[in-house]
Amino acid sequence: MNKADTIKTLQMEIEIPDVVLKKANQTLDEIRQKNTKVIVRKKISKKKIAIIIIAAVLILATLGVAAAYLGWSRSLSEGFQVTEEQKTQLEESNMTTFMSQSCTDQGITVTTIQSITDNYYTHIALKVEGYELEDGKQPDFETLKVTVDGNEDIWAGGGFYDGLIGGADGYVVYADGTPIDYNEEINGHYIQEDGSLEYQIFLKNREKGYFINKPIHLELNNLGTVSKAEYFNEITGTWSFDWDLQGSEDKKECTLNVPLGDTDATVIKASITPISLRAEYEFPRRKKTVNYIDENGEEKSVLWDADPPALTGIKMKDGTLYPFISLGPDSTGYESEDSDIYTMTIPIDRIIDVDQVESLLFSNTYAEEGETTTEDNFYVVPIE
Amino acid sequence: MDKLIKDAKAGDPDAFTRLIQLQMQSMYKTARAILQNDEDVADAISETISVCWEKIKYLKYDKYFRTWLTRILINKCNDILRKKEHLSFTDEMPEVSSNDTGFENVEWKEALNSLDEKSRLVILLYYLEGFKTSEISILLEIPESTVRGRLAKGREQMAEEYDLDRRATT
Repeated sequence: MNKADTIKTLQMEIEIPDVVLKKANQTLDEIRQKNTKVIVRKKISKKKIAIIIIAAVLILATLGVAAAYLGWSRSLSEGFQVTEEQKTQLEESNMTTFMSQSCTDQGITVTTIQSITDNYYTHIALKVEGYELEDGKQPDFETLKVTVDGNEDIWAGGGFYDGLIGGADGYVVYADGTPIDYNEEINGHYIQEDGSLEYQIFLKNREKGYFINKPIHLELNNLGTVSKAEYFNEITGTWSFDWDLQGSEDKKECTLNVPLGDTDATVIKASITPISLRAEYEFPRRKKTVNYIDENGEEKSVLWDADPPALTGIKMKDGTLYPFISLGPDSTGYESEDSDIYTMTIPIDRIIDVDQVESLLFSNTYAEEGETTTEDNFYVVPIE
Repeated sequence: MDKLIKDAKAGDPDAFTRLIQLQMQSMYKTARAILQNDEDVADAISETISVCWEKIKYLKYDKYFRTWLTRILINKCNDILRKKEHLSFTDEMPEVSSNDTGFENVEWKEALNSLDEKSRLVILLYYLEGFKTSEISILLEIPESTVRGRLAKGREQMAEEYDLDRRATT
């Protein structure tokens, strides 16, 4: 066995012994049991769903709407908290485009509705019709395959829109205003007024302009629900689509050269689009001492590669602060092995008016528990 | 996975379960690189799951979830090793019951055992889990230079194995 073979063997998927799985599952079962005793499920009754569906059918019948969806998807408009003005801007800039390609298998029709694409990220919304989701269940496709320009090695995530959006403080809230109690089980609001569901796909790539005008192939396999770490199949089928992604490089670019306190980091450039933020830092490589409390409560410290303060939010011209606006999967790192230029790109959890952004916020300190996060917790870098 | 982490932090036990299930291969391989039998691995993983559930709400940065989970797991494995060492000094060491039944994962264990104890965890974290040497340094609480040294030694061992194999077949 040579070196490459040894590594390959170590990397292969192995069978986890029963004794390990059994004990792990037992612990997870205990956690679920203990934490479901106080849970009050917020359920929409089947009767209520039926009423909603009937009402939607009546409205559609009255208006004579055809089965084409050339408007904003609920998951993108509601999920990204888009205003009418922003919708117009995104349409005019070609950052968002509408599609209506349908694929039906086993009575389930999946239709592409809309995409929003900038230099580094793509959001795609699909409508799923014909699937009766049981009350309180979480729907999911078993697999999602994405190929862009023939490349299968694409960072892709997908999930059904659950009506939960990012609140101003970074915690999730229901888009429809339903009060949320973090001590209770949080159930998604998946079913739309017309009884359909919306599936969202999120793609990212570090290469600038990677997705724009590229052919994309999507393949969704099998539809069912996810519960207690398991996928339960209900519909065995395949729904696949091919089209060309569009999108726009539209962005606001700023040359800044602003040092971030005494961190040795200088923000040299930034670019802002309605769906992402990117900062370019000059940050010579160095080590830093990290103090932390381990799980035994003991204070420890180690030397680690230092990172520049993270770009986490924005301040708008009207004073509104979005301190934690990241949607999640960011891209960070030095431009090359020898470079001192470090970049951080983050997708954001809402559509923003680029021209209304006054400053970028870089993490500095954290608010104490119970205190509100303010501008003082950040390095504030004005962009004009 | 990001949404699962967020949901788990918000107290969703199902999201937490799914998150752990996604990490089971990694957790098993990491624990098995430190501990010699599957019963101990089962204990270490079980305790890690309990601690993670209790503490996940305090995890400040979601992107460090894997690092954080792995650190807890390694500490749990080391706790078990320490207890066993203590036992060997104070009491008669009980017979270790191995759960390595039959030929389960034989090839994988053979590859793991071709590396010495100190190198195998570093090799595993670097080549399998994709941690940087600096991250392994923080995980194992050893200087980064030591991590690099153990990586180099592990690579040498793999090359030596290759030479031995070649000599045996020529």
